[in-house]
Amino acid sequence: MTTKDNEISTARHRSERRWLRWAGRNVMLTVGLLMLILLILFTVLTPFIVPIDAFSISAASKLQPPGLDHLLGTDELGRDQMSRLIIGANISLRVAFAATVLTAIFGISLGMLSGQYPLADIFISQISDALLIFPGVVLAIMILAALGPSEVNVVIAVFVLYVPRVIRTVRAAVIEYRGADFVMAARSLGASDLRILSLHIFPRAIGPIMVQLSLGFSSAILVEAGLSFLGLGAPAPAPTWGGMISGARDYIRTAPWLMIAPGAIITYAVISLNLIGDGLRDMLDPRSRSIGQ
Amino acid sequence: MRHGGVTHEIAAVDDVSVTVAPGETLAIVGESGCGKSTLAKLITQLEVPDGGELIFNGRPIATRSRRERLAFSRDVQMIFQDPYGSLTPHFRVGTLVAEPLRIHRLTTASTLPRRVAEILESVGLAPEIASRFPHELSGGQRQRVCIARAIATRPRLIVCDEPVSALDVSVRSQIVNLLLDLQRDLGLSYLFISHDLALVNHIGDTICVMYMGRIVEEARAAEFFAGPRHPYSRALIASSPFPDPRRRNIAPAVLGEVEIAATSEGCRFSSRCPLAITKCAEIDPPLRDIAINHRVACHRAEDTAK
Amino acid sequence: MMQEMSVTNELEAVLDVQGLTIAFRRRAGHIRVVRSVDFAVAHGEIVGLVGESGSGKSMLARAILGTLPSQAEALEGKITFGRRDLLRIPRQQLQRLRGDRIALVPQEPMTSLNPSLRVGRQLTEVLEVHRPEMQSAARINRAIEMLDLVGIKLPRERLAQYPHQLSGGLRQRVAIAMALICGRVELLIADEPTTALDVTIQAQILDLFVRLQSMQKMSVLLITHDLGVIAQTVQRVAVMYAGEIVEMAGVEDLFAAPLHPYTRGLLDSLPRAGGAAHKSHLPSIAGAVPSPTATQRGCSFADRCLFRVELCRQQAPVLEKAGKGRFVRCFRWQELAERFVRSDAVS
Repeated sequence: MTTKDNEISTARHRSERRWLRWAGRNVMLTVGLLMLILLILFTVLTPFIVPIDAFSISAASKLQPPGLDHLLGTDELGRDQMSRLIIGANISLRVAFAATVLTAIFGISLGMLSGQYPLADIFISQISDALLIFPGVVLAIMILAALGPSEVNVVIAVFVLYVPRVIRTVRAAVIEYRGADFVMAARSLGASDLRILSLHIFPRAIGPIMVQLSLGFSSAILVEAGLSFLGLGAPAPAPTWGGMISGARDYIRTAPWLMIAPGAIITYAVISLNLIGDGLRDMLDPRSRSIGQ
Repeated sequence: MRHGGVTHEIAAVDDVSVTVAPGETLAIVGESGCGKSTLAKLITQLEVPDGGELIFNGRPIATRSRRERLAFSRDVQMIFQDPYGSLTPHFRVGTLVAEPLRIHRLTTASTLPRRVAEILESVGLAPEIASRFPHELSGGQRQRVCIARAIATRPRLIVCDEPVSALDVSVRSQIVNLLLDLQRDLGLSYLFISHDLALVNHIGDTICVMYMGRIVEEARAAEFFAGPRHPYSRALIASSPFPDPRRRNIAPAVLGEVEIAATSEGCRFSSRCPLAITKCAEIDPPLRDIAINHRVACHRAEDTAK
Repeated sequence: MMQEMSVTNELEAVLDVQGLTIAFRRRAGHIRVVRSVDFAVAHGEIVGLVGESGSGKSMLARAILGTLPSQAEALEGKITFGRRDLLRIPRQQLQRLRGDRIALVPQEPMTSLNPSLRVGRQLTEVLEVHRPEMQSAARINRAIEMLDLVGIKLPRERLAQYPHQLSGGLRQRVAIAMALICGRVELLIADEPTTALDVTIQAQILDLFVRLQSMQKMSVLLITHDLGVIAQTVQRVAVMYAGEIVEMAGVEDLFAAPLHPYTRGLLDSLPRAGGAAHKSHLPSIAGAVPSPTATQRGCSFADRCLFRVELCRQQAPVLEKAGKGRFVRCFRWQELAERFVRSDAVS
């Protein structure tokens, strides 16, 4: 019995040590992932600890500094800043997540089409290259100006902004592997294009795609904040991070906490996702890997 | 079969007809750029001919439906030169060998693992290897996996494109022996592409020599090696380093090199040919019968007989 | 150590490698890719070094040229060239030797020639480095002379061309001209010089090697995996397996009566006229070349050897003298040699 227990505990020990070694080799990725997990835990768990009320207005308690009643103070209408930040995090992460999923679905399928079929490539590449010409935020503003401000439209704008990059990444991978021996071999077995693209080529491109998507996710948070700041995001009274910063401009001298808290959380979220993106790139880049071995 | 290059006037494969008898090996020899690999890709439908047609079992391929073409690819499989590159790196061996069975729906899910194990055993691999990745295998093992994939559909013809030349010398004969065993046991036909004349002499039933997209000589192996008639065939044999220091045969047998730019009416080999006469530069010699089962494209074939 | 001396003292050596061990540094320790190699190249001879992938033959060549990859190092041994140990002389001295008295002909001249420089420029650059006193007109004349020597027609016109405008055979001729242009080459190292070429071109290049060697009175170390090339060109052969020399002999002796089971297996496995009958099994060596990370006791060929005995697993054989100019690393060579003589006589 004891030997078996020992075996189990050494096995656990070994797997712990393997995790530690992995984390030691991928510091950026580990830190980024931990930061993101903390952010998600913060938005999910805080409502269980502190009562959340982001909408009730109270003239009596307006512009209060951080304290026991309101951990992060209150705004000019007396709304609890902490509650607004958490709801804002929900909106921000929801928008970024929805945009990233859309980008992934369309980016991967269109990228494969354009890498595999020259005729489709003409259309897809022309359009996606044309989209890449516009400076990002300008394009997003144009889209929202046309569609009107709403959470769904922010998702669409961010999607249009980032889908060309994923298309390009996937297209490049398909073109790289299209003539590879293993693809030729699969083709000579009678494999269909769909099979070759999805089973033989796509898994080789997952790395760069993940890098693009995680960087896109962080940019989506920034773009969402920027649009809300300009009043083009989810309309009031929805407490978006960008909207909160925008509202805090008038009180920067009297109540600086109104600016600092949302600014800090945006920075935090973007840094964590950029760390994940860069960490993934380092982990998956064969050049940096060969040094590691 | 005609396949035009994009940049050159000369087609990579020009007016080539080959016949592979059931259970036999047709060996195609020639140097780089002679069109032998293009021929292999045309036959396995990895490339589409610009003109001409590919006839298999009496019917042209191009007129067939998708379903018929799938059936064709079940009958005609290919083994590639580089066993390192031709196995999808993120697939396990079991998945790789199961793939042709899945594509052609040849087994049910429940019998798949057993069938994969059988196929692996038939190429001399232990069934346990199914859980490994290609990079964990030696070159010889990888080529066995490639062969396993090719025979999984029980094809009738396997196109082998230099299947042993990327392997270590000490492993080559194992793979050659495996191919010979499979041919005997399964009645396979091989279209065997190689530049190694000694190997081709050992395993070929019919030898076909290509030069710049054309067949210049075709004969049964014994007759070919007893008396090659085309000057290019003779040069190939004379240039092959014989593994015996008491028989030093190495001497430059032909002049110069293949010149891609040479576009002439005449014989494509004439500029390098030691036997060339004026006629050779003017009239392209047709492939003609000079004996039973022996065809040569040379004006001077009569003069090269012993 | 007595052994080493007898390998080399029979001939006047231009190159003498003694007890050379080359290893790659890894976190887990050293991986020895060349192990205790002793061999020598005499003045004016062509020596062949045969081996498969991972045999260490290319690492050995790179050690002689002083171009080992950065993760590799020579742990032990000496490489004596012109009374100096190449492993211990300063970098600049080695650079001065390279391209001048020791030269390399690489496998694929497309990658070793600079694609953006004209042929003439590349040839004269070697002279600029090693013959700074030469006038530029003289350098160009020398380049033309060299191209002519290696059998390139219209040498003057070729000087103005770029490598990609030349065929594979011509590029290899240019690479040979570059190796020899200084005119003082004592040791030419050719690493698989014809592997990338077609057979008819290979024949031309090998013929050129043999002619140049006798003309220039230099020594050539020819590295290849092709036993046919070895048989056709060299005088003496060293066979490498898994980082060790397993057999060394004059070329005719080696092909007529190989002593090491590996050499014998390799030669038997070659398809050839008068060998195995048409479409019958070729004799083959079981198993695969061991990976360099595999460490084992005993003989490195034991796993694949048909003649192994208990001793082969426990103890590593040394390279021992087996006749005039012959060496073999096998416990059972004498016994096996007698057995093979008998069986060859029967068949």
